[in-house]
Amino acid sequence: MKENATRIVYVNKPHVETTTAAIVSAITTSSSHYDQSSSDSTTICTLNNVLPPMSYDYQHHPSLANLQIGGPVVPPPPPVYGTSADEHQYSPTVTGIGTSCYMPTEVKASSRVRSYESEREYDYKKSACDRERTRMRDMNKAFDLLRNRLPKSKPPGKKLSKIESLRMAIRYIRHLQAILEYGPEYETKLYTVPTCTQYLPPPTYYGYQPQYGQCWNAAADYPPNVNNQY
Amino acid sequence: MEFDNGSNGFQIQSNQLNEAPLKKRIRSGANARERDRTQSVNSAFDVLRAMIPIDPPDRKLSKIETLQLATKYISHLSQILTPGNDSEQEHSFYDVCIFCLTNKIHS
Repeated sequence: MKENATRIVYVNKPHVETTTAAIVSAITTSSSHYDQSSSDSTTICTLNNVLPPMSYDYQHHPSLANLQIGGPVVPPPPPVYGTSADEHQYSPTVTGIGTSCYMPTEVKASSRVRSYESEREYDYKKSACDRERTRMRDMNKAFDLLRNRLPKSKPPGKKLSKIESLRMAIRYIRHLQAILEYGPEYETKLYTVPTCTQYLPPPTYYGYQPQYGQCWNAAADYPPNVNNQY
Repeated sequence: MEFDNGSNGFQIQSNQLNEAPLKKRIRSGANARERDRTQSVNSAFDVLRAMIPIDPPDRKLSKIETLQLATKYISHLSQILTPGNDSEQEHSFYDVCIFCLTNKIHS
């Protein structure tokens, strides 16, 4: 198990001079198993804003307080690697590399830290940031494709926000399913009974409020004639 | 707030003393708001996920998957509903619509 591998590397290095070096070697030996497919933005701490400036006092790193448990593998802090409780806290749900999300608690002189940050660790962090960036870019592209399929419900220059596009997609799918189920006469009821809005909390359209009396702004935006056979 | 034109060090210290708890309050308020915002986005994802026919039905789609499948599902529904679409599919013989298949299995 990846977790054990990290431990073993960690414990069986009696010649390690400092804890930082141990962490670095733990990082590099249990490397390259970052499981991209199971990444989800809720669990990964973005590495972009984790790495502090070099001279920073690691003990008071602000991101430690918000560290997401269940993210990538984090090597256990040096003084407590005998304690099972702490290690359980940092055991990964995603098998991955030990990251530098958690920095040693002992205060290091900035020059010593800089010398122990090996090329590989820097490259790893860089590629992890790149992966995260690519992941976010793909997700934003998917949001854009979804927006293109939805009826136009904003003034021309504006784009639906993420939450708005999700809610609009829910609404629209329900609407299409209802048309499919109830046939074309459902269309005529639209302007009197706004049934498609009754399941949702009011959407938060910042600065632009569509009227609830009319379900859709323009009937021309979606198929106007429903085939009778359905 | 008024300070004597004393040394800059004193001025900075007094400023910091008065601002630190305020900054903490601002940060924790912003954290709570961001938490709520993220939660509302995630629950919208959950609702959307539940609406997409998928086989097996309990497979949890990731966020990017729900977005892509929702897009495809909307295209699929629009395509069914547009008139003049008597030929069910324009795909090749071996392509099958995953939504039609799922609905057939689970009807």
